[in-house]
Amino acid sequence: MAVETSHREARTRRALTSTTRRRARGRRAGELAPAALFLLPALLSLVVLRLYPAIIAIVNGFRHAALGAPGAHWAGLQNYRWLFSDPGFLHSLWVTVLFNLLINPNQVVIALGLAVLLTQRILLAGLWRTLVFLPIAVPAAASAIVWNVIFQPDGLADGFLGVFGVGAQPFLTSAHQAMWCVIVVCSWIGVGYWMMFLIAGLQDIPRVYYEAAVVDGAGVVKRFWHVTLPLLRRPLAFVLVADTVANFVTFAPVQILTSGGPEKSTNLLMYEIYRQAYQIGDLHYADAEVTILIVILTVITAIEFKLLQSRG
Amino acid sequence: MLLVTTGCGSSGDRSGAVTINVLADGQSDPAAMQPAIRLFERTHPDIRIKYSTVPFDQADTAVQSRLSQHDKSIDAYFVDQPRVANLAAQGFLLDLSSLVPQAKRDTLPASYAPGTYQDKLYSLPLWTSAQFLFYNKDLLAKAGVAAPDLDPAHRWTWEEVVAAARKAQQAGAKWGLLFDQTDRYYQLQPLAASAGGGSGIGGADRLHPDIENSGWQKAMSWYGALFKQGIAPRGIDTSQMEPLFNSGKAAFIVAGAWEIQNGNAAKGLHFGVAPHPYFAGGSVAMPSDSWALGVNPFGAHRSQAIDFVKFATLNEQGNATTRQVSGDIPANRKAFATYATGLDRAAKPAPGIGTLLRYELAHSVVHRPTSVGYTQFEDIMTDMFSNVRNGADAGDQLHDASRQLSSAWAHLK
Repeated sequence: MAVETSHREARTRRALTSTTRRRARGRRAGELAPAALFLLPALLSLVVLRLYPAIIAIVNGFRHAALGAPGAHWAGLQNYRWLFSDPGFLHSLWVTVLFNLLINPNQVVIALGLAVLLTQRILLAGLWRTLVFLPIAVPAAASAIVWNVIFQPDGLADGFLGVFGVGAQPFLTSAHQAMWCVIVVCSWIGVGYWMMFLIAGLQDIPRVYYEAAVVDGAGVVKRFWHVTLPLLRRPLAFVLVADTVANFVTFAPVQILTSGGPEKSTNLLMYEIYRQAYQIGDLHYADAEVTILIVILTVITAIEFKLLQSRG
Repeated sequence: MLLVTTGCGSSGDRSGAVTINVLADGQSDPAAMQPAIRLFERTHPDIRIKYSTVPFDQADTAVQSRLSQHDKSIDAYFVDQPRVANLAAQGFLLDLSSLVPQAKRDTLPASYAPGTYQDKLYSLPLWTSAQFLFYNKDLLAKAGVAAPDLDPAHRWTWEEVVAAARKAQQAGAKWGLLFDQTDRYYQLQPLAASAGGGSGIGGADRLHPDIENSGWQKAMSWYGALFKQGIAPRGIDTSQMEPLFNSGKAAFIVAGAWEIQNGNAAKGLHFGVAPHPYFAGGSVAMPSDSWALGVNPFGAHRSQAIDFVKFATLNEQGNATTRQVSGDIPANRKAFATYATGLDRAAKPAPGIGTLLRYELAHSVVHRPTSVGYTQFEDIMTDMFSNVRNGADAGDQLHDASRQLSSAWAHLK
């Protein structure tokens, strides 16, 4: 008897589960159309503005056009063979990697420091946040033009350093200083932006963890190290990846401040691509460079995600 | 960064009128071509002009990028004359050879030739150019330096200019010598040419770099030393050079004929004009050439575009009005004659400059080289000039530029 009852209950449960599943499937099918409709603009933009140009660039990277010859022809790996034996391209690659090794940790650390500072109870915190965030509201080209004036001989930067007894600096005309100038400008633009993501992340951390840490006797440093950092891992991962991507495609400050010089010391890959495509006029060579940039960015992004996930 | 100015009225205010798009470099005031456009539209009521300018440094890039996509929205465009071969080879210029007899008759001979490539005519010259040595009379007088002569028979050497510039600086001038177009091949080619270095392009196919010879080494070492010794300023943009001279901060500037107009307009500036200098023991070399007009073969209104190009170049009045605001030198023979006569008669800065101009254009010109690889050449040379100006070793930079040129041209052969 008990066994029969149990079988009946099981059958009823299975029938109910199956009905629920069918209903859920029906509901999902009904929701799919509006969901797709809402996603369509974003997906279309992604395909038209991102995927399609990337595919075109990858395909054209295998083509070559000679001067004076109409049209381009299939060239296989020729562009890539030239690229990897071209000291100019290899130097640009090295400069881009160096630039990123210098700027990314600096920007993330400064953005994190500012985020922590400006989430404390300090006077006019909102005003300071706005001021730090403000440069991102100015177009990068306009910021670069302003900084170009600041770095001019007898400009504001020289005047400021002069207060501390430092003599006139060559800034943008020195192969040793120009990259640091670009880093300063890019950081001035970007740090406030990244800081906002980290502030949002900090505000998401429940206060109870800090209170528990205080009860356990943890000081400021220990609280930051054992509570803030682990719980900020997701926004930090996003900032690190997005910042790396943004810095790998830096263009406007380089074009306006240094045009890749002096002595190619700031010839970042994006500027090198622009130069090959529109100044030298070798579009297919530039397409091959674009493909390499895409590959590098994909690999770096994957590694960064992996590293930040594996720590949890 | 694209500035757009149009002729008076909108494109729909005259039924049946065709609007053609003219793309120009934006070195001069966007309004500079308006007198010519107004005159053209009055005499050609069925055509209207939409005139767009892009900044000077981006003009060639804009043309290259848009025409490589077979952009139909440009009908006629400004062409830097040494780029004619490159643009024609890429199929970006319409063959205008049917206009050869008229062009030979109506334009200056030295300006006609750069518009041709492989015996075909691809562009018609709007203007020509000449560079002079301009000097600040007050700064030289303060330094006790006798001003250079207008007579080309008493042309100063670069060595004399530098010595005078140093004295002027010792007497209070902020800068000794400026180049109007810092880092541009147009401005600096004559240094190497005067030192016996040639144009920098060799080989039967005009695709072999020749910039490591002693002439180029001498010219670039001299150029680098100017900045190292503080005679010329580092880190100042080309666009600031004329304003520096016009505000009385430099003893000398080597600049185009347009500086006559600009200098005359500068308050409190007392300046004089002398022939373009040369290296002692070297040859006389002065840059020339200027902008020409070409027709886009992919354009939707080629016939109307040709009408505009003919008006702006082959028509005396049309050509004269194109330079009314900018101060450039007209390339139309009759318009040039009127312009040069006017210069001769002008009391300010001095009478007789028209005679110097005619002499220089006839005897001192070095044209930029004709090569399908000129675009790559100019870009790589610009970087090299900039590096030398910023203190890099001239020999190293010439060697590196030569390697880059070989590589860039090898890809494109």
